Amino acid sequence: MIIVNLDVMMAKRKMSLNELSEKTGISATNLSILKTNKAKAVRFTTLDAVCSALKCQPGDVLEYEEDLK
Amino acid sequence: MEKLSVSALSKLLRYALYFVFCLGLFVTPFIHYLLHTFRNTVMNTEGFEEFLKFSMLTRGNITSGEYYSMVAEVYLLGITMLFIVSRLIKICRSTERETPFEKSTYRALKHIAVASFISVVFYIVKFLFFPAAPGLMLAFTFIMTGLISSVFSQLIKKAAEIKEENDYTV
Repeated sequence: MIIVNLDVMMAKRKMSLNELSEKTGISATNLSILKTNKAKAVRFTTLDAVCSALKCQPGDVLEYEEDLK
Repeated sequence: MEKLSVSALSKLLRYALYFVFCLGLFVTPFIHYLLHTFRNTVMNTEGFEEFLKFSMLTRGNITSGEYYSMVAEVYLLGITMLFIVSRLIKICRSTERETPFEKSTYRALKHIAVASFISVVFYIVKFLFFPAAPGLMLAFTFIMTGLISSVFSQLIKKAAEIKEENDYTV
């Protein structure tokens, strides 16, 4: 499964959720869905905005982990 | 404008259903009494008896077995209709909240389908023992209701899945 490591990257950049929301223009509700791994899909525009606000690569935010059954 | 008209129509329908529900609640407990009065007054008229024999597919006078099966049938009809109307009111409420594509709507439609099919089984069993045209008509009506609501419940289920996916797309 794909894991979103948004909180790790936000901690590295010392940015709060509201701050990121202001910078990217994505609502805090949607960012919290993304952060808590509830999201089912991510738009490229969202990923673009997040990466430009956090000055990182998509690989820094997303991670693949094999499913444990 | 569109939103307004949909919720206004739904509200209108809901009030109509409230009226039907209250009427049903008032009439259903007295079905036995109503049928008894009906039997003693209208059924004793000469021409009407002939008509009744024809429409009920009975050969002679209505036996007590036929009469009580009819009472049971009408009671079941009343109770099923009350149940279905209550589910429809629930669907109307969720439409007014502008969240019609939910699990609750799907469940309500499924309940309607199950209730319809259960009463269809009863009507068919009743028809085997006491053949009468009205029961068969009711059975066909409820088969249609059951099929339509089960198809629509599947539709709502699919829509709810798509809506959930859309809601969780960031």
